[in-house]
Amino acid sequence: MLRYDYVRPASVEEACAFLLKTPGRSCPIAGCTDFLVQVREKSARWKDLQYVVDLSALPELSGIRVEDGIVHVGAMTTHSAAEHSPVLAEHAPLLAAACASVGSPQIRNRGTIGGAVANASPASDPMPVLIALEANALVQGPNGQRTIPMSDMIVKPGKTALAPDEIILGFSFPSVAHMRTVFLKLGRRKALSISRMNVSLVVHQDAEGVIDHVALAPGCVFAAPDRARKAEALLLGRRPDAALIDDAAKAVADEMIERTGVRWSTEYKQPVITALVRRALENGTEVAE
Amino acid sequence: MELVKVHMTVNGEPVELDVKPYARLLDVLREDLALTGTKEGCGVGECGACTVLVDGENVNSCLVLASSMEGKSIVTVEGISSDESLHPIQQAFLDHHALQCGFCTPGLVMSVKALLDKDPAPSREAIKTAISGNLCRCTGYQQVIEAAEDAARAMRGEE
Repeated sequence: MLRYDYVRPASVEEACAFLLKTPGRSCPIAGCTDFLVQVREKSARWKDLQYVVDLSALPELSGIRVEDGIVHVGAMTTHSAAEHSPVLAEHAPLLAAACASVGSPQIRNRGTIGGAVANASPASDPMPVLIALEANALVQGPNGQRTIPMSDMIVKPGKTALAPDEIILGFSFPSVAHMRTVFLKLGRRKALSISRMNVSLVVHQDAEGVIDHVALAPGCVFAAPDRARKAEALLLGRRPDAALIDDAAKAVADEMIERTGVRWSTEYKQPVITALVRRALENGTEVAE
Repeated sequence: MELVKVHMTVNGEPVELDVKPYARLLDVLREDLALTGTKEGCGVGECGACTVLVDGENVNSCLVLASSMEGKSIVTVEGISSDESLHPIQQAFLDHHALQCGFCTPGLVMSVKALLDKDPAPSREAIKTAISGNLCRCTGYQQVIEAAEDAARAMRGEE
């Protein structure tokens, strides 16, 4: 059994100062729904762990609000809080939908969005949504605050762009209340399944039906969650029809193979991601007859 | 390892404990407080046998650090009924034969409790979602869903 000491800092500054003092030996914790599983499985990630630094009670990390069209989501927001948030229902319904699909009610009641991002799982549900929303993470370290675009947050599976003494304060992104959004997830069963693949889509069509904004982020498809830029380029400036949607869906699968190579899972993933993207675009756009 | 002092309310009683820093809420409930109604199944949040309420929300006590429970209110299956009587949810589980081996039952009861405390007249779909984090290998869930519906009626005063 892994044993460690527990630290409950009174402020973000105190937390960062402690992390600075104990590099590589401390883990900031939130809901612990991933952490305690990794500990139980004696994950090599925590072999030098001496301290957990509990961020869960820090009030400055909680809350969901919208200000001047920008939505702010505190890092300690639980998946349940996001799922039931009236602010997100209006301004980013796909984030609420992604959070509602995580784990089980028990997991959603404890696990936080900040924790999910910091844990850098390649199969995260909220992560591709935050990328499709063009969100930034606000992080704080011993030398102050900085923002990290969510598209740069995951360096590789299990590794974030955060320095060891930095903490995620929250996420911000422009409201997409005036756009269409879709989140689709394929799991092995309804509850408690980790995404096999998912798709996040934020899209807007002008009065003529021409797509003038599109962000398409497939999850569990690239080595690190990212937008499917080739498919987006196909869609932008066009009026969607069945043929265009087919082309865009194939472009996502092609980009997957181009970026990750042909792997043992490709035979399965290629047709499935094509179907998921096609479905997302069919749901999210007004298709010309 | 330095013990961590934690003040919490457990089943309505204020409790002050020195807990091991790495102890799970599940360990403290069962070992320190002898509340063995809460069961450990998988230990990784998949089965829900260890479900308890923290500030009214159902959580897996195997995935909660006891030291992070400062100021929290915890309710276990022992805390939902008084004296020797049964809570309407427990009675409904009996009436509907919603258990066989019984290992998952405390967890299922607590998940149903969390639901009915928030939503006194849940849809069947809401009940299914509410118990989706609780595995039961005996009943096939049908009886559990019927028990939850019956308990909801009883708690609304419609016998």
